[in-house]
Amino acid sequence: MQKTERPEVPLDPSLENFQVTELDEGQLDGVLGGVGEVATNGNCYGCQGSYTGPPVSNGNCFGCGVSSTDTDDRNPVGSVEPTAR
Amino acid sequence: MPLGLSGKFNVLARSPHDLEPEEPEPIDAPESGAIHWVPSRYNIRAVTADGRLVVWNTFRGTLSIFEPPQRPAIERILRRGGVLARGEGAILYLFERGFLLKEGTDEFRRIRLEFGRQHYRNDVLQFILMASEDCNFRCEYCYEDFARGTMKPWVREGIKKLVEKRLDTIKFLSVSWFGGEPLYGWEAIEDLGPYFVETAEKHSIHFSGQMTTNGYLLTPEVAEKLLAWKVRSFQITLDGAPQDHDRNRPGRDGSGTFSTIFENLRALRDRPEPFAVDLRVNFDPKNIPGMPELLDLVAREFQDDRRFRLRFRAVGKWGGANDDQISVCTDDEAGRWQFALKDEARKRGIALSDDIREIQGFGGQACYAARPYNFIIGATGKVMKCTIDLDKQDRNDVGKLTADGDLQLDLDKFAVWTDPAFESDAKCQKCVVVPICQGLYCPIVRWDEGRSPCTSLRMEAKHEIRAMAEEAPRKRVTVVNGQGVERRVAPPPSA
Repeated sequence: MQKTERPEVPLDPSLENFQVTELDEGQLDGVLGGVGEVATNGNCYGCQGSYTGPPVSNGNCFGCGVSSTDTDDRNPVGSVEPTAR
Repeated sequence: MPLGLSGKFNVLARSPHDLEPEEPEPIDAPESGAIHWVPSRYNIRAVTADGRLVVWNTFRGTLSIFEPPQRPAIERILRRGGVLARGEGAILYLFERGFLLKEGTDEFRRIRLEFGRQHYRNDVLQFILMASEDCNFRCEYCYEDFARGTMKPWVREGIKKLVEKRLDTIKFLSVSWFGGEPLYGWEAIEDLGPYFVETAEKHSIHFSGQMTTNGYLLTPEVAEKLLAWKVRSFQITLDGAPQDHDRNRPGRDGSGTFSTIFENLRALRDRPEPFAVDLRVNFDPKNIPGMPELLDLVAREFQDDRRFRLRFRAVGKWGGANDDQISVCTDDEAGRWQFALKDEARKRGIALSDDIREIQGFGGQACYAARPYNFIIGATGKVMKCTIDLDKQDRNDVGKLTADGDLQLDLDKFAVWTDPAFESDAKCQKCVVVPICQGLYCPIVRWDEGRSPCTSLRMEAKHEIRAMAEEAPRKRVTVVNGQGVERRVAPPPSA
């Protein structure tokens, strides 16, 4: 059998309707849009700004721990920390 | 003459295709028929204790957790040989998340494209500024020589002029204060701190400020000013229990420093502003026994404040005067202890700096020294790349900043630091975490030891994503049905 002739996979009943938890934080947008360009309107990807405490720091929302969109605070280019201190 | 006025079509003046009716745009959607899908080579999978399947894609940065009933079917779809299926429902979801690709996709070529976009961008300017090359501490493992004091006024003027010359091109300005001890050179920070903020605001540049400080001089008055100047990310080191810290990190007069630092941290905690503190813990065979005491202390004071996070690093022989006297862990021991310490911190509910979510995705563990837009500026205008080499190694003395704001670079040295080494490293090209480190985790390892500089993430990724899934609540739930994908930002009531 040629490689391209594998049988079509029928939809497994367990996949007809299900929920997935996503823990990424708009990193996808960072890749596709150019690193550091994930911002939209100051809303956090995770909690959509519903958290009422300190909103962001260094790109992270304190409410849900995901990347925020406050570009003032984002480190636009990820890098490891200055070492050995 | 306007086209067409003569009434006769002139094929020399206009393409006949322009007269054809416009065809509708093809719909950019997955094919309606069954096609071949293959898993991404950058998927990392793990199973939690309660049977959930965690999948992390290191290229796209996506991380999904599937409940136990879906696990067998998802694993079948993601098997190495791929599947023939229609692009809908779960297949569409996995495709959109980057876990599944159309057969024939060259992911490594995509990585090279994204790397180029990131690495060679010229709209970013990153400084690591040595406000003072001297220090008020004398840590036993320190590799610096404290040869110079506060950054000279003419160097500060040169930095301002350099920024002004780049205003037309930069969109991001990042300043990391370093030393020596940066707060020992307060005069330089007080000069440049407000300048960066005002200039960035005036020219709509995104500014971020960081500081690596021992924390001793980070009094409430100093913190107030730094936060006003948008220095909102700090790395502060606590080397274990108070007595261990005081032995490893004494003041230059030999005095203990833990209690002063801890008081400053408490005062910082009580402030309302947004900021992040990475509490770095350097561990070695001598201070490991006291770690539970430190973790309990940190948990008691900072557990409820997610602005404070812990980061563990093994002490190394980094080139300091005491290298022959200090005891360090072997690589294997260091890896095991780092694992164990992170788990102990998690048990106490303490946030960690090295969480996968903090890595910030593509290139997140590439060293700043490798980036062409990153420059260390010393107190006397030396331009360097690596904060370990500093000016002790000729290779790192890559140039000089002039008072007029010109960077006079030795491009041959500069090019070695910024070389995209993964492109010629067969090990990197096969590695599942190359999107994260880009083969640039530490250029000096490649230089000194002639081997690929691997991030510990390469070995720990499964453990990390499993631990993350087990401690995290459900977030940003997506519902997938037979046809499509519906995104929600919070779990539905039934979840």
